[in-house]
Amino acid sequence: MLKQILDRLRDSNEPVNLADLSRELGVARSALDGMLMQLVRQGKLREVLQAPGEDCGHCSGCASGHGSPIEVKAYEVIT
Amino acid sequence: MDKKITVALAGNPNTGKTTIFNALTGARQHVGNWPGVTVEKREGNREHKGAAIHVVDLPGVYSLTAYSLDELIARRFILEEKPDLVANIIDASNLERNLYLTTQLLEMGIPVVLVLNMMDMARSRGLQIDPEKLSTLLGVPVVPCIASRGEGIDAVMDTIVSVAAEHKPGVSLNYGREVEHAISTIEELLQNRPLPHKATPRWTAIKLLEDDEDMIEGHDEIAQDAAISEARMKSLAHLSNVYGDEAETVIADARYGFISGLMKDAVRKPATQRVSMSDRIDRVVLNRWLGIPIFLAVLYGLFQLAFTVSIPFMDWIDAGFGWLAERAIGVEGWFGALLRDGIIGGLGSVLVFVPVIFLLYIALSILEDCGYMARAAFVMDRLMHKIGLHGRSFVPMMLGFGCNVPAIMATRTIENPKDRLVTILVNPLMSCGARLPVYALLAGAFFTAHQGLVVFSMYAIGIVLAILLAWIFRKRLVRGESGHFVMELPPYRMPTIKGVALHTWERGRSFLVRAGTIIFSIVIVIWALDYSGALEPIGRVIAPIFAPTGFGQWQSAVTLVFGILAKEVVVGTFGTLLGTGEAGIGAALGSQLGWTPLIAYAFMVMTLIYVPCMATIAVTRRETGSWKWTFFMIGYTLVLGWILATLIFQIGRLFGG
Repeated sequence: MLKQILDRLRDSNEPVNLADLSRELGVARSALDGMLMQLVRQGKLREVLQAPGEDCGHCSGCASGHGSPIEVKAYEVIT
Repeated sequence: MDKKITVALAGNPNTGKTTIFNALTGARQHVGNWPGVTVEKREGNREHKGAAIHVVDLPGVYSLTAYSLDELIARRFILEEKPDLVANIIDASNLERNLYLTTQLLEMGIPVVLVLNMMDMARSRGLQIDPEKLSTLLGVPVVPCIASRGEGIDAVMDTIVSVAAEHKPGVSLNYGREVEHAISTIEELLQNRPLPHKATPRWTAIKLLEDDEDMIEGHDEIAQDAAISEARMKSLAHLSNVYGDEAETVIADARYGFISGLMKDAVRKPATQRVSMSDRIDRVVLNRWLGIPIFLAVLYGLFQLAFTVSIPFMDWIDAGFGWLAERAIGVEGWFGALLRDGIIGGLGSVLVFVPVIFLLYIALSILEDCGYMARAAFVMDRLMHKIGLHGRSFVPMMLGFGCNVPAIMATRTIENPKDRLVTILVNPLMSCGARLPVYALLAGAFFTAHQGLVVFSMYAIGIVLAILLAWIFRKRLVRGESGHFVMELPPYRMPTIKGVALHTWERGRSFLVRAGTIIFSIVIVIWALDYSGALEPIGRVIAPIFAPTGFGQWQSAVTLVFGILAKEVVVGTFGTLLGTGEAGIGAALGSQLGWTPLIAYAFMVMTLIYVPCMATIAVTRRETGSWKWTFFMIGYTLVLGWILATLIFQIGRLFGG
């Protein structure tokens, strides 16, 4: 699964947020969050902040931490 | 107080760990610091059923890597203080994520109790968790609870007391052939030496492969040991070549694969949840009714493809040996005979099959690397469980398609000794690559239009017999409870050319090495014995035993005897004894020995089943540690092969075959 995540992010020209990744890969957000954290720690991904799209699911990836989705966490590959 | 139990509470942040700690210890808490760091350490005591329970609340962590201080504290406490058990507090509504820490706790080889907290929230999200199934698959007790309401706390206490008394660790994760090989290589070097944090050699080996900073930088005596360092670097380079990624990622991926298998087996998710492409494919290939037919169809397609594509390549090699044979006609005396009948006839007839073997290995590597082989094992696992066998048995059995020697060694991953013994005993029935030249030769000569189907039937007979005999052995010879396990299901992915090439070469290389060494030597010995006239009398003594099978000629008998040294030798021996190359063997078997398609088929079945090769016999002795079971394997395969070959020939004759 980690390899799939990396491949998906490598194919993308822009950061991809947790909600979109979860939807595309069919993995529960909380589980995916753990995998992304692992890759960030390994130095393969970095977190960036992104303005939420229309279908932001108010997920735990919300960077504001106050329950109102001002910006969401997205991920991109460190090259 | 009779017993003193130390239990460590471990879990992700926000799993209700503090609530459980408070429920377990009441007001009897002590707050201090972890040695060397100013991070709060909470401890408490409780008495339960005559036991004094000391509870230590570890920092909330997602994993046990060396990336953060909290994680280092948690894992050092578990390794160095060696609590009697770890109570792993899980947020049941986020099970998939929480189980990652569980896999790492299991790796440490310490007894674990899984506390499924927040079961009410899991239910409200539509998750149906089967705690019993989860417990069986993880090999640890699982206790559901709702700590906020105090529900299940007594059950947690009861389980802590009973687990501390048993002191039994849970299952050991299997990381797949390549990683397991790397782990065991380093593990062997770590045996009998003091390890950092009093860890086990396996855990230390995994950490070294994960490039764990604490292990690499903090313990020079281990990381800078020349032999360990060399083995580690070599393994890391190999894994990177095979998987196209770092070992750390591959190992983490294997843990997620394990969790994915666990979730499929023990948890039902709400139907509305979005499914991935892997899930969609799995719905078909893992289907209760379609799974096995699809597996058989894939195997059949694989053989058809390998045989169809390899024909022109085989023709080229055959033409090459034909050209050499023409040049050798002029060479007179014993050396000429050695060149023509020994080297060109014997070795040449084996080497002709290199293309089909490599194509088969390419196809097997693609299936393995894309993730299908794990599914095939999952499907067979279900079938094997139904007849009372250990599911993990089928993984080494599948490896037997390549070579039975590493396949038997792979049974080390089976913890139950009885399951392991049965898996070793039936492994030679899985048709290895060395037997393929025999099938290819005879199917090509006697079943030209259906050679793929005939070869496929050999593999199918092998699988059916292996399952049937495993069942009989388990019921009659090695009785006892069978273990459970989780089949790791990695996501499907596109195989890399490099990975497939490496896997194919690893398997195919041994065939070429054997052809150039063992097979070459044996073929020369056979030629020398034949040339001196010593072979025929020996063959004539043995041949009557095989008369009921249809292949009671002295040449066939000699061929089977030498085939015990290495199965490829069967083809080479025919080439030498019949004085012809691969292209002529089929015709010579018909004209010189009177073989029919029926006899050829009976001979193929005999080759599939009878006595495994010397290397397999040796590894069986080593892995079982018993001559009794080694001779049992030799004996039953010989008798079974003879009986089936006889039945095929005799019944076939009744139908005019």
